[in-house]
Amino acid sequence: MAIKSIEVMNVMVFRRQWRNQNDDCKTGIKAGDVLRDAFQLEFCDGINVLIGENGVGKTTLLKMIYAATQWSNEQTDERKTNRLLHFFSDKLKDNEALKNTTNKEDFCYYKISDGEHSFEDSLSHNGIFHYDEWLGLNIQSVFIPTTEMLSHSKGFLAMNQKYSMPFDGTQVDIIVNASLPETREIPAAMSGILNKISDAIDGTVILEEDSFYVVKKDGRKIDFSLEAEGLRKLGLLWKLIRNGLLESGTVLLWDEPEANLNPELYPLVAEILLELQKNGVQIFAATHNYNFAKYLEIRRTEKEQVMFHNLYRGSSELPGALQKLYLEQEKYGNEIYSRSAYRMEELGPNHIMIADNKLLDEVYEQ
Amino acid sequence: MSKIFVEENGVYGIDCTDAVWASDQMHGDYYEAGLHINDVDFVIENSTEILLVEYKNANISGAVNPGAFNPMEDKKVSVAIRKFYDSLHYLRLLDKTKPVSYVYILEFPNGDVTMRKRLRNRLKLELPFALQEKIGNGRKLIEKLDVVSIEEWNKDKDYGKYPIAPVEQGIVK
Repeated sequence: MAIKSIEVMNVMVFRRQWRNQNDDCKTGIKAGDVLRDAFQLEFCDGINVLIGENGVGKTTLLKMIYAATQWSNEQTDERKTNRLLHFFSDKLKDNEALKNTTNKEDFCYYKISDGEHSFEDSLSHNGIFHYDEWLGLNIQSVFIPTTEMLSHSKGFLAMNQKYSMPFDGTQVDIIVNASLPETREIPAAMSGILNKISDAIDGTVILEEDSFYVVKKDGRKIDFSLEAEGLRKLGLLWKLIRNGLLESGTVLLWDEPEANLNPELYPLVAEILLELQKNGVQIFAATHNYNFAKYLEIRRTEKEQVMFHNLYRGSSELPGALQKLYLEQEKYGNEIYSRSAYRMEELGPNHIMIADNKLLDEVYEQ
Repeated sequence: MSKIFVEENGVYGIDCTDAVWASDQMHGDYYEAGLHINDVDFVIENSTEILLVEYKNANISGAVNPGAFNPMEDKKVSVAIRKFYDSLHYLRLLDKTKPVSYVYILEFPNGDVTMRKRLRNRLKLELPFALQEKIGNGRKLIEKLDVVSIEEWNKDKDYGKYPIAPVEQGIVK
């Protein structure tokens, strides 16, 4: 099982707009082109890297996939519709804030598909479509948010049960996941990955009385909050693997893996993701960093292991003939489009490369 | 009369028909004269400048171990630099005095525009940009340096006058 596609209509930044294979229509329409008015991305079974400027919806897409995969689990509690909302923000009372439409009656939804089944959270209809086919798929997923959370674990979950805490559902869940017990056995493939991370953090991670510690190889027990933030991130990954949450058939969603990480650790993290992928974990990562993304591109052994999705903001118009058919779409705003490719260079306008290139040009001109 | 040079692998050709003057004979001339120095693959003269053009394509099928080609490697960088300096003798003997630009056309696995710009900046440090600012009467040994892909070369308004295309497709002007 793998997540094959996502479709979004009038939710947050993803407004209704005509898109040609999800790209803008500037190059015109030709035979065989697929024109849709919803934002739609198709994913590879391996590592999907989302790139783009701030505010183009990378994290939103990750959270939508997370919401859908969490919904697929039968054991999730009965308040799960509210939980979906909570994944996006802890401040939302209802889903009105997620809607982004011109007319009140317009459709608003996001839909995730594995190719055979689909999950559609319809904000306009206030309910889940196709839930009977999706519920019970039990897609195990982990969302690693940008904010490091394990340092705040002491008493966190108990407090969260009782009080309204200023953390969204993904931030709460990562503490829950890291706090789960370790598996009895570790698959051989995962053992190698754990050893690599263990070498980088010079130890292993334990949970004692609600607090996380790194137990160094020389026996010292270091409070998680005292570790460098980049190493805490690796420690979290170690714990998630050790708890059996990243095994074949699972989905890992990681928002900005490079955040707070020393660039020298990028190749290690890229290697770990590639190994997880080879062992059947489907991965979605949003990044702003060219070097990190490039390590994934150059270290893969098969082209299909890693696919890049470039989200960008732009405006374009339908060709004249089609405009007559779709009068309501005469006005074109600044909407979100995307291009996907197996090589970063094939994606334009690629803002993480543009940023690096501007700096390099400035250095050259000096 | 058409003037098309085919690169060493015999896969791509560069059409210099529109050049004032162009040559791919530098290597042969140096060799015949017993000089074991470095040289660029093509020299193209237009109405305002001379382009020293080095061409490396590790992306073609049949390239020997293309994955191992790393243009950032010290040795490769050093050779690319020497090719510029050694080619200046050739221009001097031919009395070509127009401003000189060095263009490195580079294709390699996983290469992209950012990597090419990084290489360009690294090459710049060892080409005589800083030297010509410090000494002399303002005459320059090099005007400009570019590291480009075949696509970038073809799209450039100046370089694109000498299009590069696979030989089997023929070169279309």
